[in-house]
Amino acid sequence: MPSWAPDAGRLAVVTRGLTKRFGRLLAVDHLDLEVRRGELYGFLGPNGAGKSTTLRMLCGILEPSEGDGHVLGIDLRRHPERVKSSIGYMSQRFSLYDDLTVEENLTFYARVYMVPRAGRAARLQQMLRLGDLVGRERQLAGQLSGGYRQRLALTCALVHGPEMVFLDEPTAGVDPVSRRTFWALVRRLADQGTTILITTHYMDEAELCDTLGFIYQGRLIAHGPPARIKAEAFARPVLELQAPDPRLAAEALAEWDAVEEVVRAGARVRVIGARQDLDAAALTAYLRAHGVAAEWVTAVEPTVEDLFVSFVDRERKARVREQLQALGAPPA
Amino acid sequence: MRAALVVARKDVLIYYFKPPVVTFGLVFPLFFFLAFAVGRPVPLSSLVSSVLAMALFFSASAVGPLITPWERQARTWERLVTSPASLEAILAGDVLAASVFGAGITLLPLVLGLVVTPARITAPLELVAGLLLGALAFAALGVLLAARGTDAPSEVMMLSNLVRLPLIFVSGVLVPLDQVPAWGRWVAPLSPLTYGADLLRGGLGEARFFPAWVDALALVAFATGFLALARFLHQRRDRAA
Repeated sequence: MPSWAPDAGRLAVVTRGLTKRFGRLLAVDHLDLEVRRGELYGFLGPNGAGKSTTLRMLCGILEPSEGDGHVLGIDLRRHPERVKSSIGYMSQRFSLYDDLTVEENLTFYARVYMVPRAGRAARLQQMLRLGDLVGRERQLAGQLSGGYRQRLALTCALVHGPEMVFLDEPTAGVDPVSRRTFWALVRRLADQGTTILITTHYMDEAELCDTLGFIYQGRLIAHGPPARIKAEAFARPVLELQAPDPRLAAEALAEWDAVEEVVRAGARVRVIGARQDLDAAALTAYLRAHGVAAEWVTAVEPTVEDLFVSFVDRERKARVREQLQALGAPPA
Repeated sequence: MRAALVVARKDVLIYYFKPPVVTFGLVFPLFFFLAFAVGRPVPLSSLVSSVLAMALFFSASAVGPLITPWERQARTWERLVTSPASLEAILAGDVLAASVFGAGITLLPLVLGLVVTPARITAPLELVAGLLLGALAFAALGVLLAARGTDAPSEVMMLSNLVRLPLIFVSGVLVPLDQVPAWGRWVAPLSPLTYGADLLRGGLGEARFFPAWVDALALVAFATGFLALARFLHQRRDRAA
């Protein structure tokens, strides 16, 4: 018998102390995760943070080194095969068979997931409509554009009607229009009751999730709805300014102990305060005292990227911010 | 079993129905054999069993070593192991597809041999057993070669040839076992091709080196051993990934 019983009626995913070691490398470090049924959960973190390893454990393809977990009430350690049958999974780079047509890819996954023959044709039609793939049934997957490939991969993950879907960086390398279309589709699925756990590097996408989990160096460093994390976990002022010489302004502000982080974005400079009392007036006065002009200074809402970077060790902030922006996050 | 059939169907559609694969399965063993046979006093009818054995060996084990590395590179392997298809079903599917392809391809030289040479089928059961069990063992060898820790097809091809070519040389396909030196007869039992070729020879009325039941049992043992080892290597690799 398991030592603890999750509330499977309410929670789709529960882990306690979930850990994965590869030799001496600690990839996932005692992760306690809870995903409610029907929610869209964003799992965020830079490369190597442990996102994909966690997903692979939750999907039943990687055995945890320590800890326990339940997905849809199924024990990960005892019944990984049952987990696989109950979930949908879309891996990075879409994992389609390029030499098979759209219809053959869908049919293959329908057969692998034992979709009954009687309802299979109707189900495939439903999936083609869902992915806006009607009329492309005979096209080879390898000849599809990125957006269509992405939607085909999603429909392949949904073909057996899973209650929960794991999406591992589904928008990586896809154009912004396709990303937006994809997110509309994901949102619709979540609204219809499918639980979705999605990993992403794109911080703007994270804003669209019901709940966020920030993972860094294998540990869950923050967790909750974006608005709550911003209000509770990120209790620092964020200011933005425009200056004739943004480089000079950024250099001056970086020296100030009232400032935790300075990020340049074109002609603008984004400032994360280290103290609660930092406001536009104080910042303007500081700049003026250092001979730096500012056209305007205003308080702004923290972004998810600000949240994420704030959770990271101070010495690693710049590197993580660079990494996130290189991966395609919009400038802060 | 159903999952294995689904995987096998996918393999056939994607990897086996390609003109270069079919051509390679037929032409390479034929010319390889002719390179050794021309100029030597080999009766025409005995060519048939040797060409059959080589065609079966090459075609059943040619594509298998590449399927998993290709699929790991394309991440379709990861997608497949996340599905309810077990590792055993995936491997069985790969073996099934390779076996059907190997046995199917080998029927062509068989028909050709029966038409244009004096070769005749004298023991149909042995011939069918040779074709099916040989295909199974050679396909399992291909799947085993795919289980190594590399995803680079060029490395897999090199390893594949490094393993398969010596197995041909020691198997008695090119030189009958009763004509090879004593050390050759000691080494021959290490190659699954030895037993497959022996059964096919028996099926076409030529002298066998081993009793038919020994050939059949050895092929089953090789197939089982190769598959078990492939499963172990895949599991070890996936645990570490």
